[in-house]
Amino acid sequence: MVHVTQRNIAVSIILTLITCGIYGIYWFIVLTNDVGRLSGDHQFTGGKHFLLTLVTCGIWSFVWAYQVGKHVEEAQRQRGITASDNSVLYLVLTFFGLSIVTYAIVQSDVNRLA
Amino acid sequence: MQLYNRMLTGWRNYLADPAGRRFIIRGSLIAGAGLLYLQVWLPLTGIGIPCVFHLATGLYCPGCGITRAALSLLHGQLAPAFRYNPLVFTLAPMYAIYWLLTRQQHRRAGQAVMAVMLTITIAFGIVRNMPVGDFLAPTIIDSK
Repeated sequence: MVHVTQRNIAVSIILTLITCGIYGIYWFIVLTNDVGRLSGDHQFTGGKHFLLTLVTCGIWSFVWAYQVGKHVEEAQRQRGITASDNSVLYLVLTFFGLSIVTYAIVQSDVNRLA
Repeated sequence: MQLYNRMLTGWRNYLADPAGRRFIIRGSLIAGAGLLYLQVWLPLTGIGIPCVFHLATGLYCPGCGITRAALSLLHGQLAPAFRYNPLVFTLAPMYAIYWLLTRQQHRRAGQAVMAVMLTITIAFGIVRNMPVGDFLAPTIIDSK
């Protein structure tokens, strides 16, 4: 059994807004770690993706958005749940500056898998 | 002797492994796309990928200067490349260590290296925007 944390999505969004996005960084890192644990890929870690996002002026967040969709799908498939691949949706959301919506949808999937 | 044999045949095993082959093919494609972008697209159109953070705030992000550093490197100019973005030259060997550590299942050590890299990156991003660290901002130097 993989241990991941369930997080309240509304609280996480509010915390992100009132901390001017700093909680969002924390959320991004722990969420990515959780997704990596759920899909069984220990190379998919929040620290790595945050570093690459910083170094590439944010361009890496598109790669992350696509990959996180694939990882959630893989985690759902492994557990016999109907798997949905939202990677392109996350890519589009990130393109329009709505990464926080991506975090919320991924978090709701993680909460269901936890 | 065994190690020597493994070193001799290792790369062949790597090529025989589908994951290894995929890695090499993808890596070559990405490198090819990068070369096209730097050597064909940029000189022809002059349209680079903008840094949203720099456009919005006027500050330099930790990654500002990497494209110019890559261009300088392609022209064999090491010192100007380093001055555009010294961070990437510091992180590259550390990332290689991190990659090796995680590959060898040393997860804790890998996490420690990642934490150091993140700290360096964030500190670099802050310092290069301060008067005391403005030599770390993307700087044009005379290469001759």
